[in-house]
Amino acid sequence: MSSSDKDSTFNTFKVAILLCLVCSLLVSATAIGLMEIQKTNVALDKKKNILTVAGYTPEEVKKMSKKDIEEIFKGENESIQILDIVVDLETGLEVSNDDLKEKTGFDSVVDFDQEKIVKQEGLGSEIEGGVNIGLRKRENYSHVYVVKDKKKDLITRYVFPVKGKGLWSTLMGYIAVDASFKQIEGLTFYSHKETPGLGGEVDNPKWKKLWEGRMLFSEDGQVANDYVVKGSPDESNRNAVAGLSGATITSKGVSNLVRYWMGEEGFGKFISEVQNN
Amino acid sequence: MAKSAKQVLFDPVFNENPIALQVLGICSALAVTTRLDKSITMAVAVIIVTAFSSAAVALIRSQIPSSIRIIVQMTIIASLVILVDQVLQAFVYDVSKELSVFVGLIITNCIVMGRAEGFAMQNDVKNSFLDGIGNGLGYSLILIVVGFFRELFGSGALFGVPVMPEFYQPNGLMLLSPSAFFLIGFFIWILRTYKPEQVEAE
Repeated sequence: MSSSDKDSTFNTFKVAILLCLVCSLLVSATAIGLMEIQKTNVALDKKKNILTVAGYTPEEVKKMSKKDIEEIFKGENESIQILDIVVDLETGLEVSNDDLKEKTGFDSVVDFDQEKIVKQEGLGSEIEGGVNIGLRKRENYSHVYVVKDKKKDLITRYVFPVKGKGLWSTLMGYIAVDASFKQIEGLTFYSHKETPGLGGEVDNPKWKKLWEGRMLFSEDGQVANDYVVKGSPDESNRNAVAGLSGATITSKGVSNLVRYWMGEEGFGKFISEVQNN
Repeated sequence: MAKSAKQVLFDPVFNENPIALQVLGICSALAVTTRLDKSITMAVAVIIVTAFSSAAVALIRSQIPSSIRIIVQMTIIASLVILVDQVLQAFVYDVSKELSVFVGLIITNCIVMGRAEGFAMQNDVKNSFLDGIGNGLGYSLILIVVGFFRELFGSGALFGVPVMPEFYQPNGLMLLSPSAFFLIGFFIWILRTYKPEQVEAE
């Protein structure tokens, strides 16, 4: 083939179109072929994150096999069980399997994907002023994970899913609080795209450890004004942790998402409902 | 002067190392070398992408119109990177999560593009494939050496297993990007002392 032939307009288009077809087929075939495996990985990773705030250290979670983790969630582990329930954020009440199916179309609590209902009519609500978490709507129903000590038959912790905008991305994670809603037991994020080394330090185990034992509410019983402060928090501030240096906006985002989800629009009604019973 | 297959494969490791001599692909070498397992995963990913993209470019090189050749190479490289990223997400999820954006950034790694444009456009499929592996290996060598020292001195561990004696206080600087500059600098220094012909003429 002569070189003028190769460089002709027709050949340029032919090569471009053929190449795009082959490449797109290859990429989409892999993406679809591996989707199921990736989904199970993501689901397992979420469960691992729940476990790290439910009382296990990250090292312990790392050592667990998939089976160990599933057992804890199914209630087959003899010392700890993590019960997955769905809560109506508008009323603060737990939703039964039948109600859930009727209202959201999801068959069971385990299958329930709250990210999918946010934009559906009647299943998501506008986020009204007060606390800005960078999102316009939030879902009306949310998972709550109840951590139970099986030997003592006692609820030890509640784990709530939280999310909110940082600098580049929406941070998705879990916050754990003790059964009397006095203190925060841990905060972890399973998905975010913050700058590695700056905002990405929300994953730093040392920073995550700061959250353990901080008070959930301020002295008047309301959510605190700040959960992350610049520099180190004062001795008298029992709610906040030190902010991440070089990541003011991510720090503010984390502070706001804790305020929002622990507040009245978030899990506040559920918390009062549990406390009143 | 035609090179033998062995030369094509191994020259880029020491004689024409992409990082040490050509000084390409430094960015990711700084970012992903804090731990050995991250370095190795990244190294394997780059070897695969460089080898197969070079081979693919060489395969269709007689058909590629010169006006869109860079875009064609880019498309091939980008598709392969997405492929590798998907496979990593499916089979080594934890590592892929930590490598985060850097797998995607293999697309912009100068080594891959440089070999496609500089070698594969003029050579046959077999040699281009070997050249890709060779350059990938050259990159891997530095990544693994740097990853080894950074994890050893920065965390006192290898593959996450503590190996340093109890009294050793991990050096936090080794976990920050500048330390990779020092290490790569030392590497180039040693390599050029040993092979003085690599020193640039004044």
